[in-house]
Amino acid sequence: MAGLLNIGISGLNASQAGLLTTGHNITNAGTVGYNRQTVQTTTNEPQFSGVGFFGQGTRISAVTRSYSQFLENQVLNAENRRSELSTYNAQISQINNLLADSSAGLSPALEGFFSGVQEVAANPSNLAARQAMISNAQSLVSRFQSMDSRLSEIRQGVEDELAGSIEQVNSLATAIGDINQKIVIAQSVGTNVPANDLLDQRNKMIADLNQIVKVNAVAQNDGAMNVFIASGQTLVMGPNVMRLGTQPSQNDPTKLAVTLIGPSGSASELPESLLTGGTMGALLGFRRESLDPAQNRLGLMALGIAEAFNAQHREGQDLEGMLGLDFFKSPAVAMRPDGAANVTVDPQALGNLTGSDYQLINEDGTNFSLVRLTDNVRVINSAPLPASVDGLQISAGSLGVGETALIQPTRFAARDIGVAITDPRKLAAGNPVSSSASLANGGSGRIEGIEIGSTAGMVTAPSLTPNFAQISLSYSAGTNSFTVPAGFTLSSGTPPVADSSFNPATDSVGKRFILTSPAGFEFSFTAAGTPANGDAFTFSATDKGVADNRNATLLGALQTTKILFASGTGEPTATLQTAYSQIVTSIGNKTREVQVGERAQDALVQQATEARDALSGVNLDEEAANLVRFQQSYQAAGRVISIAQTLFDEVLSLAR
Amino acid sequence: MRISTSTIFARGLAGMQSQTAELFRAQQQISSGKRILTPADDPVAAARVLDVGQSKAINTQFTTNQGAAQDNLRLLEGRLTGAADVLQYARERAVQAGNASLAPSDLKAIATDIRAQYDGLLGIANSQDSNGEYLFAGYKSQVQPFEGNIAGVSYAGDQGVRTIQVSSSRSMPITQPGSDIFENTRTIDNTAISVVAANGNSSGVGLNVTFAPPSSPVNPSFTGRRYDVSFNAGNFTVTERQPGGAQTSTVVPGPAPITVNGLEIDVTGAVSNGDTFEVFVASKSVFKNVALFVDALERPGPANTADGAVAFALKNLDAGLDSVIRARTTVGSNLVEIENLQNIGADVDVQYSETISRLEDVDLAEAISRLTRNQTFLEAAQQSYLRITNLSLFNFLN
Repeated sequence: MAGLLNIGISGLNASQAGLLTTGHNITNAGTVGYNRQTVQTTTNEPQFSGVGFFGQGTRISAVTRSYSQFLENQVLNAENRRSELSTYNAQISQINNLLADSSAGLSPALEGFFSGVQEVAANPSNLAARQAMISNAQSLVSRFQSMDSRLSEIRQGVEDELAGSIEQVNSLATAIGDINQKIVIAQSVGTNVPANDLLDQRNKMIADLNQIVKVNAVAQNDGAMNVFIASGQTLVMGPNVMRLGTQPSQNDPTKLAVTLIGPSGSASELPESLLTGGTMGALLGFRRESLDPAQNRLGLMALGIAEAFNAQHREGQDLEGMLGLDFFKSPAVAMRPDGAANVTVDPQALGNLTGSDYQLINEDGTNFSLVRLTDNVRVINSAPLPASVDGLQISAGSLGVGETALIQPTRFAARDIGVAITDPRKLAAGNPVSSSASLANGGSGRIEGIEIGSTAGMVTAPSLTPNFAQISLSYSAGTNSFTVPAGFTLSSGTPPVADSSFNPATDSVGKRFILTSPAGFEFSFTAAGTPANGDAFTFSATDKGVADNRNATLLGALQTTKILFASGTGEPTATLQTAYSQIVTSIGNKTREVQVGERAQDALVQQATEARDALSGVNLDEEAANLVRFQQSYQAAGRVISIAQTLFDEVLSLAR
Repeated sequence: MRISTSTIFARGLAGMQSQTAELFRAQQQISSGKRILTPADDPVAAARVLDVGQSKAINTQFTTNQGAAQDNLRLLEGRLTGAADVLQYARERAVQAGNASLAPSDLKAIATDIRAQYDGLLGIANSQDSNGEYLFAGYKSQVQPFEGNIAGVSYAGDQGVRTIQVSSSRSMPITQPGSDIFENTRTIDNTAISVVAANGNSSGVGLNVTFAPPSSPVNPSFTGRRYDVSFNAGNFTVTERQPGGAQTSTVVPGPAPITVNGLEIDVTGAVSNGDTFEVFVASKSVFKNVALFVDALERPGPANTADGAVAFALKNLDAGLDSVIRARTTVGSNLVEIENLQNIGADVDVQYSETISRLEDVDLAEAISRLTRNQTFLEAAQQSYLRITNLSLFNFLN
């Protein structure tokens, strides 16, 4: 009787445990990271009798969770990548939206500015048109600045979020260290007794950590889990935890870099290339691959328009008869540390500017190396300064031997560009050199299309008003050539060679000459028509206050002139507008790539999660069925006890 | 396969969210009319829209410039037509003055008329545009180009030609310097000199007047003059008459040839004592030539006839007229060119607009049908979600 009673009781216990676990499953159906649990039962040691073994009921051998490390790892990998893509998408979408509206981007401001230039070309002496052009230039500059400040805000946002992510990593790492300790203690009663709920919680923490940065988790025999980041740097070792921090990067102090803080408190910078995946990898990657190039490209445009426009403007003459000054305040090349070298932009080689940042290394005091950081090419390889490379003119500064400096030619250019001219009369719409044909001329020869090559020596400092003496050009029909005053030279062709011949029979449609003065200034012009023997032409300084629009026309032509991104042969390939379009395309392409990637990754995460949940997730119908099953088995076990009691009563009544 | 309850909820939710996103996108496309909402939607097309947009803006700018050039050229054309009319009228009066039956008082009346035409021509040469800028002053548009009166006009402008960019490859001249039109009407060589013998001369015309070497180019100060040359006892008396000025006489001893004021005067035949000749040296300036003519009518020389003056005037007024008409022809052909450019510009503008529209505008029919489709899908997803999530074994346990 006692045996039957015991068997019944063991059944009651097992059913009760089943009901408990089912209840636990039902109540945790929505708990993230929960793996459904099952009670494992086994038979008790049977009792031997002469005829065989009699079963002794059931006992609970273990409560296990339905868990597969393989499926869990798949989810971890998929979520890590998804989190990376979604963070990247969230960041780059900000730039994408900034560029989205074609009527609010840089294009309309650029068009407005050049339309102002054209107005001046049409009405060169009209002060209202000149003022309008300056106002348009100011609105172009402020468009540059507002786009740049938006990018800077995005950059600040990236760094704030990076700091936030690091806080999360640190608190998760601490929590994993704590729970490691609890698991080791909990499981110390025996290896077959898994601390299911603690393990679930730790898995959840590692999954959360994994969404921030790619980690490797390695289980230990004692139940602890060691967590490594980057290329194997320890984050959690048993109960011991390291911390992450931020500090300005050694290579680029304008950026925050991620550091690993050792037990002694010493911080070592983690290279960005090692921190991949997750939110943190996305933030660093976005800053490196999308934000820096976009801001540099925008700066390159600002620098390009400022330098190209200034160069042309300086070749003109304003309403007061003075040579043009800088129209735009040209942005200076940024450098860390300040004064490490003298770097200026070469206005003649704007096409060679790259929009990259550079690292300057002082090798041995005389030889310097310059590394272009976008592709890590040594554009100067241990050579003495000064040197000209990539549109930059570099001469030595205060950089000590063995030290390095960061040079950012275009990073802050969009922020620093400004309009230098406020007085509309200072706008150099005219050309400082005018030509006239002598009224006595007998032929039809004419001079046209004067373009300034250099204004050197055209003025006597500090005056800015060209005061060179009249240059007269006379034609001799006998030798079919022009005569210029002593010291001056005429040349033609590319490259120019000394040449003063002009044969009306072949050249009357126009022959281009370059006139070089002993003072240094030079200009080119076209001689055309049929001059008669002795005909004279004079070049003189243009009078002030004239409606001369020749330089304004050339300034306006810059809108469609290719000035940026030189090809291999050194010919620029992009106008300002196409340079902007390229920014839009590259950001648009990257955004699209990330968006498509995120959608694909969403599907992967879904598949992996479903595969995992098919094994580990709670199905309420199944649990309901289990409830009924365990209830019935509980009732059945109770029935066994009641039978045992009835049997016992039977025996007692026999004795009565 | 086991399906966990949370999967049912998550999958249903994800499905509805993606349908909602599609629906929202279609709605945005319809409400903005644009297919490309951000560059990421079609990076290549987005950049192309910007490029074509710039081309369109430049084309619009050129259209504006063409309008400005057209206004300027029309003004110029009007003024040049006026100048041609004035010169034409002066020429008719000169022909009238050639009538031998006219009395000196009649000639004076004609002179007064032509003097008024002279002032009219000067006024035209000094015309200003609506901004108060002088049309014929070259770059010096703030300076009155022609200063003076019948005694002499000086050109204060320069030889600059203002241009406006009317297409990517064409800079159209919108002004012509007055020096080209009024101050450079003919070439100066010996044909610029005309000699008329006085009526009372005993011999025939026997004076040969040429420019003294070096005769190319001729110093402009030697031109635009009128002289009386009389021969007496081997000496030449050269008397210059300047319009609006006194007359000055110089006696130059012979024998011929003699050189005076850049002219070489030779005798070709028997010249008798007392013979007098009238010598006109034409100028490149139409003003100077008209002034000489007016003066010759008002103060006839010793030849005592208007014949020489009239011959001189016809020849040189024609040259002036030619010059003005030449300038007007250039303006006219520029105007035709602008009209063509405007037509091309309008065509190109339509093409650019079409390109931009094709690149970024939404196909409304397609977008609306997509919207309706997504709406249907979403509603189906919502209904099925409710059905599935309502299923539970617990509903049947009691």
